Formats: sequence, structure tokens, C-alpha cells
Amino acid sequence: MLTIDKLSAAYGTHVVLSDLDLTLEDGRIYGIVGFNGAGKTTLLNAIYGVPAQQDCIRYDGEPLSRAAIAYLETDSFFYPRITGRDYLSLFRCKYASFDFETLGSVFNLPLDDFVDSYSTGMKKKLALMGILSQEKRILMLDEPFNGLDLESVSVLQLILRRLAGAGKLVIVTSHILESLSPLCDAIHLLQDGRIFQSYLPVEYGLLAEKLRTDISARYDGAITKVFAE
Amino acid sequence: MFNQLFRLKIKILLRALQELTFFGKVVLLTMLAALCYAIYALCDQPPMRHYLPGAVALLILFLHLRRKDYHFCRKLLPHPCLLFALEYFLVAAPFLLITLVKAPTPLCAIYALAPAVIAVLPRRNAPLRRSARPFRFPMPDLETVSLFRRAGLLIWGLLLLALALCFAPAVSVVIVYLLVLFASASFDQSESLTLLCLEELPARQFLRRKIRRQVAFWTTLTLPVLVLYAVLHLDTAYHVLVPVVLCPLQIAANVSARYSVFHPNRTITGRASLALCLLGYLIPILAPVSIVLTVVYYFDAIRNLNTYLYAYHR
Repeated sequence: MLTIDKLSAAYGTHVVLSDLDLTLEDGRIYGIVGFNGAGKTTLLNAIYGVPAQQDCIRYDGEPLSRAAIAYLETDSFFYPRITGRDYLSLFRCKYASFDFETLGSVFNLPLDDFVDSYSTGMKKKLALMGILSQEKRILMLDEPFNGLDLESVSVLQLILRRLAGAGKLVIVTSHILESLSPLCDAIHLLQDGRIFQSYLPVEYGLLAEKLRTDISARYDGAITKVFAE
Repeated sequence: MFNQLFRLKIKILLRALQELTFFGKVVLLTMLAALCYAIYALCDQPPMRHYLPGAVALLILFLHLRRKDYHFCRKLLPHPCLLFALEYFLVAAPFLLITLVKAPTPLCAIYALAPAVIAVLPRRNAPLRRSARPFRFPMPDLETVSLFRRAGLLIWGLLLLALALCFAPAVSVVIVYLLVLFASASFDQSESLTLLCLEELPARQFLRRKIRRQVAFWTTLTLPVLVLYAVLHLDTAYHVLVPVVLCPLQIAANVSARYSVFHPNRTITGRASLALCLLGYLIPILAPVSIVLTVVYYFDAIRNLNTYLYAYHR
């Protein structure tokens, strides 16, 4: 079980996370939603220990070790003129037993093509393959559905469910609720630097409604002003 | 638009200079002063006075062929060549001025005309291959794979040329030396956190392994040339000591400089100071400064990498 007790994070004087508490259990999939800049990536970075390991994050009562985590960053960087196979060869060295070829065909990736020629979604899938090959107990995916087509979203959801079923803890962030609601066992709303509220699957409707209300309250005036005509 | 773009570029340059540390500014000034002195000392001595304009023209041509804003400027400006010519002229201006002061010769015309001539040279995008097979020989890292996919033919060509020219004095050694210098300095992008943390190594071990693998790779590639040169020129075989000693230092400087400013997925900044450091490996009197800089970069890189890799300390 991963426990976060009063986690705070700031960039200079800008406080992003403030006294955040969170408990996540193994074998389950958790969604973290929030508006842009809410601190989703900062939260994942903090769990991963970037820039520094926080004592307030513990796994099964012990300080969380990074060796237990596989982390998919929001943006994936690939060197120019490398092929998908070149990229995966790095992971293949360490996780030789993983079946890259089959997953590549499931994701429909042309592994011998240059990554430069890949679409955004294909690059995301390639990065995901690297992350999924790692045999870690905790899987953190930052905006994994960005750029993925409908089929790949379903495939990824299937994979994540399978991994959670095998006892892994899966944390997925997104700013799109619809991509998380069919997948997650619970969704936490990150707002004002803390977990505003946690929602179970039966309450996802309430969460959607809350987000809609918040957005209306925040932007209706400005939108009316801009598009008054 | 021309003025605005030019002013913007000047602004970016000034901002980059402002962001240099005090030490960086001192090194920059020292290097520039040394460069000016080197031009002043060499511009009237044959054969260097003939080589210098050619080298400057080649440098500008290299800049022109490599500049990343070429297509952007062509889209934005009705006459982009004017901007290119002005920028290249600013590069050549110190050479022109110093040569005019010290020893005005007709060769000065090269400094004056080369920028304009090179600026109008068209650049075409070569048709790109879409796929490639994995390399059959072991590559030390993905950066080198990428480098060989982009410039493999050129690198193999230069190595073959160096091998073929082993009978001539010094040429092969110079080719090998410059090849390693430019090849190892060709990366300006940091890898992702995933790749950095993949091997789960602490910072010092990570950096040492990166440098060691690069040195081993380039040693394997260049060793036949250096051995053949030494065999064919027994009396001047000590020439090969220059690349043997300095190439590993160049590689260490490049790798360390890259990781001293590492930030996941970001373009590396501070390339100007690295360029100056590498200049020291080209101009013998500046070599001590570069060696000191290499050591500074090495410890900076370990300090910076510790931010990300501290978790793997045992």
C-alpha cells in the first residue's frame, strides 16, 4: 500500500501541492484528474522522487524506493533517426523475457520505421511499451491516453486491468475524465494543491457534474465576453 | 520583419550571455581574447594566412547547412538571404578587421564575399528513408545509433579517407582527431527520465560508464588508422599520441557538459561554453583551459545527475 502523508511541493514561491494526503492500495487502478496546472505531474514526480525523495511517501510502511516504480512521463523524447526497435533494444537488454514483438503488433507499431515518422499516438505507444516491459510493482502513467486512437485506448485499458489483476498498483493521470472512468477503481480530484475528493465508480457522475459546474463558474463570464455576438 | 527578427536574435544572444555564470563569462572572454590573438598572430604568416580564410568560409558553410531556422526564415522573410548574409558577415568580421589591420591582402576579399555567396546557397531536404535495420556492430548508446543513421556514410567515408591517406604526414591523425571532436559534440537534446533511470546506476557510475563506452567505441573505430599511421611513419609515430590522449578528453568534455545541464526531454543550453571548451582542443595554447573546463564539467555533471539518480546510491 502506498501512503502519502502531508506532501507539499513548490516551484520557487509557487506552491503546487500543499499537505496532500493519499492512500493507494496494490492491485487497483487509481485515476488522478485535475485541470491543467493542478499538480498532477508534480504529484507523480514527487512519488518518483524528482527532484528529491520525500519521507512522507511510504510503500508498505517503508520509504518508497524508486526501483519499485515504472513511470511514463507526459512527453516522451526520442533521438532523431532511431527506429522503434532501436529504442526498445535498451529495454530488451534489461527485460529480455518480455515479448516486445507481440505487444508491438498489438499496438500496430512498425518497429523498423524511424520514430520521426511516427504519429504522436504511435510515439506514446512506443514509450508505453518500454514502461510496460519493466517488471515493477507500481506503474505511474502521466496522461497515457493523449494522442491514442480509440482502439489503442481500449487495448491499454485492457493491459492495465490485467496488470492490476496481477497485483500491481496503477496510477493514471488525465485531464479527460472520460478516459479514466471506464478504467479506474477510484478517481481522485486534485484541486488547490490537495486531493479535493475521492470518487468511487458509482460516483463518477457526480465528479463529472462537479467539473462541469466548476468550469462554468470559472469561464462562463469570460467566454460570454469574448463571444458576445 | 527583417529588423524585428534580427533584433530578436540579438536579444536571444544577449540573454544567453547574461545567463552565463561569472566563471562562464570569464572563460568566454579569455577564449575570445585568445582567438583574436591567434588570428592576429597567424594572419600574416604563410601558409596560415591562406588557410584561415578557407577555414572561415568552411565554418560559415557548415553553419549555413546546419542552421535550424533556415526554413523558418524562408517562410517569414521575403529575402532571407539578406539576414543570413548579415549574420555570416558578423562571424567573419573579426577575421576581416584583424587581417585588414595587420596585413591587408587580396585574401581579405574572401572574408567580405564568402558570407554573401554562402547565404544564397540553396538548401534542399534530402528524401528521407522511412525505415532501417538494426546495426550489426555494437553501438555504445542510442545517441551513437542516431548519429550513425544521420551521418554514418560521412563518418565511414572520413575513416576510409584517413586510412587511405596514412602515407601522408599528419593528415590521417588530423582527420581522426577532428572526426571524434565533431561526432561526440553532435547532441543537443537530453534523454527522458525513463532512459536516464533505466540502468538504475548512481550518478558517478552512470557518467563514467557513458564516457567509457564512448571512448571504447571511438577507439575501436579509429585504432586501425592510428596503428597504420604509426607503422608507416615510425620516426613521427608520436603524432598518434595527440588523438590517443586528447580524444578521450574531448569525449569526456562533451558527455560531461551535456549532463552538467541535463534536464529530462529538454534541449541542452549552454552550448556556447561547450563550443569554447572544444575550441581549446583545436588551439594548442588553449588546451590547458579546456582540460580544466572538462574537469569542472565532470563534477558539475555528477552534481546535476545526482538530482535524478540519487535514488540509486547504495
